[in-house]
Amino acid sequence: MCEHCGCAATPNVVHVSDAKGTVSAKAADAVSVELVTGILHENDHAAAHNREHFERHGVLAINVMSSPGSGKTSLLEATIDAIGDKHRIAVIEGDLETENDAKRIRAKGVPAVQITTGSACHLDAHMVHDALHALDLDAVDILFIENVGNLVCPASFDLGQHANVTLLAVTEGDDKPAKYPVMFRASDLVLLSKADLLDVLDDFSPDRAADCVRALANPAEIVPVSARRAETLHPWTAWLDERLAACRNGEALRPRNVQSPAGLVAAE
Amino acid sequence: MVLAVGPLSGVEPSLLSRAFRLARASTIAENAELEIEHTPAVVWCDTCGVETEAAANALSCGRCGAWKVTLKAGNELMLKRVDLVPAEEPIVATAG
Ligand SMILES: [Zn+2]
Repeated sequence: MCEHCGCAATPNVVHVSDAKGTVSAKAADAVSVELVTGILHENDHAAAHNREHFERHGVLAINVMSSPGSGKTSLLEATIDAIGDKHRIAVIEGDLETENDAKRIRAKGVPAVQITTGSACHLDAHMVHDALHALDLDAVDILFIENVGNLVCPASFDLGQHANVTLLAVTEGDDKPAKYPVMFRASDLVLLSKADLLDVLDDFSPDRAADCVRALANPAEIVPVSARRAETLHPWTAWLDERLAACRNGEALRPRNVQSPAGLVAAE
Repeated sequence: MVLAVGPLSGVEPSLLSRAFRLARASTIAENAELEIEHTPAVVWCDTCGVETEAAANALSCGRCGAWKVTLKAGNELMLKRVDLVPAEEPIVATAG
């Protein structure tokens, strides 16, 4: 008999000692261990650790995601131009190869750490943690983490950020939120980038894009922006100001996909 | 081992099964079997207070159509259960 729980495990069964769930016998020669453990627990643990770092240093961390070529780096350059004199900004850049994006950010006088992921299609919490060692978080107000251009995997890995911002360029299809539901359900803010092109594009409807986001039960604001038109950036920078103030106020900001772990709710 | 995988988890069960067969080869777990339970997306409507199943990209309430709903299930990637079967020859387990 098993000494942990009195089940009928035979002595040669290897016992899982750190299982949080109940242990019960399935058959005379087998044990069933009920676990209900998130498979991404290892990453989530590292993400929580990153978030502690950010909060201890009063840093607002924003995960910026989009498909390749939607203008993430251009938007960050324009954002630095817009609020760089008011807030101290730093950037972590994720790309498969090259330092190009980090160089563009450094050219603006802002610290940037490039993570080259090789063939990995997303950043994870451990990569971000390693990159944090290259930054002086005491000298940072807002940290942008520019994820690898990809609308699939980045949505599944918590990095420790306070919010997810997803760019949807108006040169893409306005039904992308319906095609990539995991990503757009996780978005706390959707920026319609390259919005200066809306005048010449007749096939992108911001309303249709908004309907697709609402169909994911996501109340996120949907804001048209153009990196080439500084005056369009105001709602975006105001959104950042609001969150930075909340962060400084000690509010526990969490991205949408982290604040509602539905799997845990369902398993209770 | 039994996994629960929802349509909003970002994981494709058939690819995961294939990867598992490669990952278990030549390890202590080479006879391990993976069973995947496909859990549906379930939403709870803030307006009418009922739970309905939904498609991954159409999460509105199945009863009234409102989009203000709370996801109750569907984004999980969860290890639910491990069935441990003793080996023919007792294995000497080493900790860590
Ligand atoms: Zn309803």
